[in-house]
Amino acid sequence: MRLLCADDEEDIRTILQLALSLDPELEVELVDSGEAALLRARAGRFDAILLDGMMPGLDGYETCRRLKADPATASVPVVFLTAKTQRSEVEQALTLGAVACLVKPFDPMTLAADLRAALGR
Amino acid sequence: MVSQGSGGEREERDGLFRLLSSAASEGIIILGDLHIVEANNAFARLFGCAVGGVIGQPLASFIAPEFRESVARHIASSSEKPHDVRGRRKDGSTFDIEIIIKRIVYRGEPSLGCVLRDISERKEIDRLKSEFVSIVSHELRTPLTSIRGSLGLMEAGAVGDLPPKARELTRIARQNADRLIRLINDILDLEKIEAGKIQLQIAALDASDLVESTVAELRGMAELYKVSFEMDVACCEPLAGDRDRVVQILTNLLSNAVKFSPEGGTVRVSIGPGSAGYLRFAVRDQGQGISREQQGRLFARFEQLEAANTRRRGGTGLGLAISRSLVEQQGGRIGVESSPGVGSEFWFELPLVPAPGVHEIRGAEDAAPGVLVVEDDDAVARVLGIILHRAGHSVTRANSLAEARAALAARCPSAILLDMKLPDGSGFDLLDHIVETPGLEKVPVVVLSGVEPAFDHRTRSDRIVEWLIKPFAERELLRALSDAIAGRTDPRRARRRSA
Repeated sequence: MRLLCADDEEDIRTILQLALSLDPELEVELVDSGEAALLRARAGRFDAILLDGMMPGLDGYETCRRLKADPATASVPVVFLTAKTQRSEVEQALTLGAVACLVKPFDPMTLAADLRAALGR
Repeated sequence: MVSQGSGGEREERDGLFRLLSSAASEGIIILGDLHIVEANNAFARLFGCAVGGVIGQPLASFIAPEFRESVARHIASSSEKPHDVRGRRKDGSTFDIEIIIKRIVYRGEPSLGCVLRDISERKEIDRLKSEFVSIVSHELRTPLTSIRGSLGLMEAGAVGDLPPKARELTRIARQNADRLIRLINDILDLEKIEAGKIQLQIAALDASDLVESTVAELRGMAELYKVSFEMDVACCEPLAGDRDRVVQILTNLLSNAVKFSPEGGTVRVSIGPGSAGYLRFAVRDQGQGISREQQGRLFARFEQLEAANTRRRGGTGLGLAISRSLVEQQGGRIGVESSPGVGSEFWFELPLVPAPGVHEIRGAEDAAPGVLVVEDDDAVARVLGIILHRAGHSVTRANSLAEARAALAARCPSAILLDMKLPDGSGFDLLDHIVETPGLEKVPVVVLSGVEPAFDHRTRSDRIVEWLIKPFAERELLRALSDAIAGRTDPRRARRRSA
């Protein structure tokens, strides 16, 4: 499964890389912004996209909206990884077309399994 | 008829009123027939006008238009609790006020005494506080994600084996990162609950199902502590509550009971009748018990009876404070009974879903027009009844088109909550009936539907001021209803709302 992950924090990208590499079937590409996620999502073929909610520039919500508005990327399932856990924010993500919200801080040992469960794979 | 007293006595009382009210910093007015008959200087100052200019004015002219209905309902409810609304100054500007209304007799006439207080500053502080908590918690979570993530990977050997001592230290660091995360979550949760910001999704719930699923979730933890669960269900009536939040309360009480039970002990969970109209949950442990003095402090924030002991057991000191807030927000009560050496029983009561008919009240003699709930599902209708009653609305229930038509013929409601799928037709049939019936053309309708409209419903009927998708949050429903009654229709909102 090819996964695109966007998070502006370098430390968290390092942990995401390590945590997701525990699942040998995941092929992970990391980017550091919403803009980069849009570019890569249009260019590459991904099976899912994991977005940080709060990023400078294009935040996760706007990135998700644009992904869903573009026919080339609209069908790729989006999962949020967010430090904000208010119901309204989860609702906002789901309203924009995300399939699930995972919360930060996450358990790195179960992140891949949680992601698969959210994607139904 | 109340005695008016002699002219001298009246003058004396009027003089006393003026003396006391002139010294008060809050606005004080007396209303006769909802018009101001007396006002102090503080009231005039608050609203930017002269005392002489307010006498004879209706109370409504000092309330922002969108809150007038809410004030009218508050007066009708005879509640003496403070009510937060927005006031309107002479120049048209509005500001946050708290109003306390008391029924009094003034100059022999039944009147209303009102105390009005400017609460703009308090509201601003509340807003800043919750913004601060939200930002801080987010800013703390981000570095904690890195710390927790790194430690978790190291401890699990994902980056190679660690020497035993390093693994032990990593475990200690990871456990404390977890504790910090729980603490931040609890603080944020408590802040949201106490600020009234959580959106409760009140529904009819099966108590034994809630207990069974909570017990199943905690079985792993109980095995770790070598404690077993026993369940005793003596009441199967549905209760009215928010499922996630009731599970949160149960999880808190059950995990506390497990943590404080001796090895080989049993935690007994029982469900039974409580005070009239309430269902009682009780969690009994075989721990060392709590003295009477300590019981009083248990539900306060960061109250840990034996701090070191609680820390060892992974508590944050906020669980019981959160549970109490959650129980109270759902209209219930929580408490503890315990004796040292005998164990403790933590209990809470939540309202039962009332039997059908309880909310089908208020005859034609009742002056306040109520809300007509057109809904064929009994459980949904009962829950709506509870929510609306709590908010001070009177409710008439109709479970079919025919009943709704009959109810509308009897009296015109202030608003209609309409389920679109009815046993004898569609909600649209009722909308047609409303538009065609003289006297009903202006009744606003809030649609409650399991599905989104497949078209722009405003082109079908301009009576629909809002289309709510089930399940909706209690607050969302009340907001939609108060907008509908106040005649506010925001076209963006009217398109679709779901919670």
